[in-house]
Parts: sequence; structure tokens; C-alpha cells
Amino acid sequence: MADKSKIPVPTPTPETAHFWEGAKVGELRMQRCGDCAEVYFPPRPFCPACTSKNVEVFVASGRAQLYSYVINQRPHPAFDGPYSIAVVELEEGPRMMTNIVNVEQTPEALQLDMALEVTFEPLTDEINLPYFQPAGVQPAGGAE
Amino acid sequence: MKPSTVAIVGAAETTDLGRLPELSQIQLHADAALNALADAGLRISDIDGIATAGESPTSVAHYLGIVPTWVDATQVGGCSFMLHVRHAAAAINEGLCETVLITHGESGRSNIGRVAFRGAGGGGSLQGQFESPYCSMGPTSTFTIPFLRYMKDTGTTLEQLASVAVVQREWAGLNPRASYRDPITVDEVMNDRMIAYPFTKLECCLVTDGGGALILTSAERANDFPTRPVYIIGTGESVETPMISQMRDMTTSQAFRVSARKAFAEAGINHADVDHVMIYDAFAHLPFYGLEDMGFCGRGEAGSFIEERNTAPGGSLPLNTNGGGLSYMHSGMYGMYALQESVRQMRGIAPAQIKDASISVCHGVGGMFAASGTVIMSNTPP
Repeated sequence: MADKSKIPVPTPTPETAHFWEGAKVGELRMQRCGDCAEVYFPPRPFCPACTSKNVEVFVASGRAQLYSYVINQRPHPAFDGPYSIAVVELEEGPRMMTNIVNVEQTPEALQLDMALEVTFEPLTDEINLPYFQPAGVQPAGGAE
Repeated sequence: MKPSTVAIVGAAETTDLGRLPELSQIQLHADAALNALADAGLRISDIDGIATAGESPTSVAHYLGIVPTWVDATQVGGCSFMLHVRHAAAAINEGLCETVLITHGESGRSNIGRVAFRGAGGGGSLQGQFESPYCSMGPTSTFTIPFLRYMKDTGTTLEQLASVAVVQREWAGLNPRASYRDPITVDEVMNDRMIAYPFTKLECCLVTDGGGALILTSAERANDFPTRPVYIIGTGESVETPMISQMRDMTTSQAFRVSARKAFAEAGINHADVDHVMIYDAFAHLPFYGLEDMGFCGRGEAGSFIEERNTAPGGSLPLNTNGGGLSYMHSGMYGMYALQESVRQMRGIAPAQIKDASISVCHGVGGMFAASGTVIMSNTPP
């Protein structure tokens, strides 16, 4: 049985706190530059494209496409069998690492560029982890 | 750097490679260093510059009894040694030191006296927050992530990925020191145990123990040594991102392009001038990125280029002629072994020697597309 306690737990920093606070309430929070309009990730209090500090936090759509992935075959205690380690491209532009969940972990089921949506799973009392699943899937157990 | 102002005058690997539980990691450094000193006919007191990665240069200098006036601890992963060569050349030209020793030693398999690996950092680092929770299990399931995107965007096939391992095994078959020498087929590679789809075990590097060392000095002194001098004619280096998920484009490495462009510009050569190439192959897709990002192949052409045997024995562009990280050896920071093979080819003493080769390009990756270093060597005196 998968043991979620074996998942490395993120430690928020002052610059990333907004992201994890958002995840806690089911929001995927990104940042946007007020000067050059760059949308970026991971979080930092200035724009990586132009270094402007005129940046804002906003809630992303949660929609994404599957950019690339592997299916790890080596046993990991947090997973029951092979699992995907993926990079997704958000509708707003930035890419994130994730696992693709609520879908068969096979090359046939995991097609590049397929439509995905964010879903959050509690990891600890403080941390919800964002994952991605095929768009329109109703995960067992209902909404968050 | 200025081309051909600095030369490699000593080069050696550890006496043995493979599984060496009788040697600690620091002794692997020392074994390689002493072999390189013997190769150059030098004493340890002749060394006044030290560079290493994996171990601290302090540890290596003290263990060997070196009193350096120049120290380089650049550690950007497996291509650190390419950067050391570049930095050493600059230091020698600037007069900071005269004779530099660069060492590598890694008890990658036996784990004897190994310095703790500085990985992604704790849960508060950006990798720790935004990559580690997705449970990649090191390079096999992380470094491999970009390839499906590369495949789709370029039309490259899994057969072509497998052909990289097949061709390099042919080179390894010519090398008595290679870990694996028996021929393999594309079918065998594709049907080998799946490690991280789409990569099978034969498409992943070995894990072995070993080391290597280089000695560099000014080209003016190069003829005073017993071996044929190997001149550094161009170098490059760059870094992109410590998080593979944040590569600008997973079908091409920015660090590869920047590093190689600089090295070729310094050397003042064209791709047609190159007789021999080493591309650090931690996994079978690395030669595709290397060949394309350095400009040897157009975008998406590297798969067919290798499949059609252009890099195989007898081909137009001999690549990874020691067998590479897939078949020769891979201790963890393989860049040193790529450099050693380029030196052997330029000296004319490689087990699979390329006839009349006079220019070798040696290209390394550090981390997982995080860093890159390129060293171009020649045996033609300035």
C-alpha cells in the first residue's frame, strides 16, 4: 500500500509562502510582472525576465498540457507500482514538475499535449501538493 | 582563452576501473594523480595549482602534499573537469601558477569513503519544494524526462535511441578496459529491463569506481615532457537551471549551445575540421542533444545520423570511442573519462585510435542539463 509519508515534504520560504497558502485552499497561484507581463514560476519577488519588482500574485486557471514525462519503474514506497514523473505546461505559460494522477500509468494513456487540470492532495496538515489529472476526470472521493 | 597557449602534458586514469572496494575515494584521486605525474615525469613538488570536484581541493592537496598558489573547486556536476581545464588555462596564462593538476576520483559503485553528495538540497530549496515531492529517484527518472518531448517534436524513434547504445558497445568492443564489450542489438536494447519509460537499462550509464587526472602547463614548456603535447585550442562553459522542469526548451540545451559556441569560436575551427568527438552520455539521448546543440547535426537529425552509423567505427564522425558512459565506465562524474579519451586520441595511443586525428571536441554535461563544459584539443603545435 502506498505510503504517502515517504514523499519529501516541501518547506515554504518567505518568497514561496503565497504558493503553498494557495495550494492549501485549492488555488494554483502564479506570479505576473506588472511591467513586462511575464508569467513565471517558481516564485520569487521579482520578474526573472526583466528584474522588475512590480509583480503580482494571481490564481492560475489550473489548465495545462502534458509537456514531457517518464514512467518510473523502480519501486518507490509512496506509490503502488510504476508512476509518472511529468512536466506540464500551464495555460498561462510556466511549466511545473508533477505526477499525472487518476489515470492509468501507461504510454497509451499518457499522451503528450493531452489536456490536464490541477488537483490538490493533502500531504501534511500544512501542505497540499498540486498534482495534474486528465481534464474532466472526477477523482474518487469527490472534489477537494 | 588564447588558442594553443596551454597544453596537457600528463594524463592518466586510475590503474584499475570498475569495482574497487579496496580503494577509498580520496585514494582514487591519489592513484590517478600519481599515475599522471609518472606519465608527465613530474614530482608532486612541481605542481602549484590544484582543481577538483567531488572532493574539496583542500583534501586532495593535503593528501598529496601539494602547496598550491592557485585553487579551483568549481563543482557543477560531471563536466566540472572541463571547466577546470578552461579555468586552469586562464590561470596559467595569467601567471597565477605554472603547472596544474586536475583530479577526479569517485567510489560510485563501492561507496568507500565517499563525500556526501550535495543533491537537490533540503525541503526549502526550490528543487526541494517544487520537484522532490514528485518522487523522482535520481538521474534515471529525472534526466530522462525531456526525451519524450524531443522525440515528438523531432520525429526521433525509440530504435534510434537504442542505436546509440548499440554503436557505443561496438566502440567498447575495441577497448580492453571497457566494462561491457559484448555486442548488443537494437532489439536487445529495446527489450532490456525498463527503468524509466522510455529508457531501458542498456540506455542508462554504468555505475563504477575509478578516477583520472590531468596535468596542464604552458605550451612553451610542452616539449619538455615525455609524451606528445595536446594543446587546448578552445573552451566553453555555461549553466542553465538546477531544475530540469525549468529548462527553457526540453528539446535543446541552452548550456550546451552557449558552451560549444564559445569553444568553437575560440578555436577558430569549423565542424568539418573535427576528427573525433566525445559527448558525455549519462543516458542514450545525450549524444542527440550534443550533436545538434554543438552544430554537428541539424535539428532532429542526430537520431538518423547515429542510426546510419556515422558515429560508429569506420564512420565519418567517430563519437565516444572509449565506449562512453554506457559501456566504458561511469563513476558518477564521467567528464574526466571523456577528457582522457580525447587526450589518448590526440596522442595517438587510444585503443580504438582514429587514424591521423588532429582535432578532438570533448563536450560535457553537468547535473541534469544544468551545466556544460566544452574543451577542444589539438596535437598540432602552435
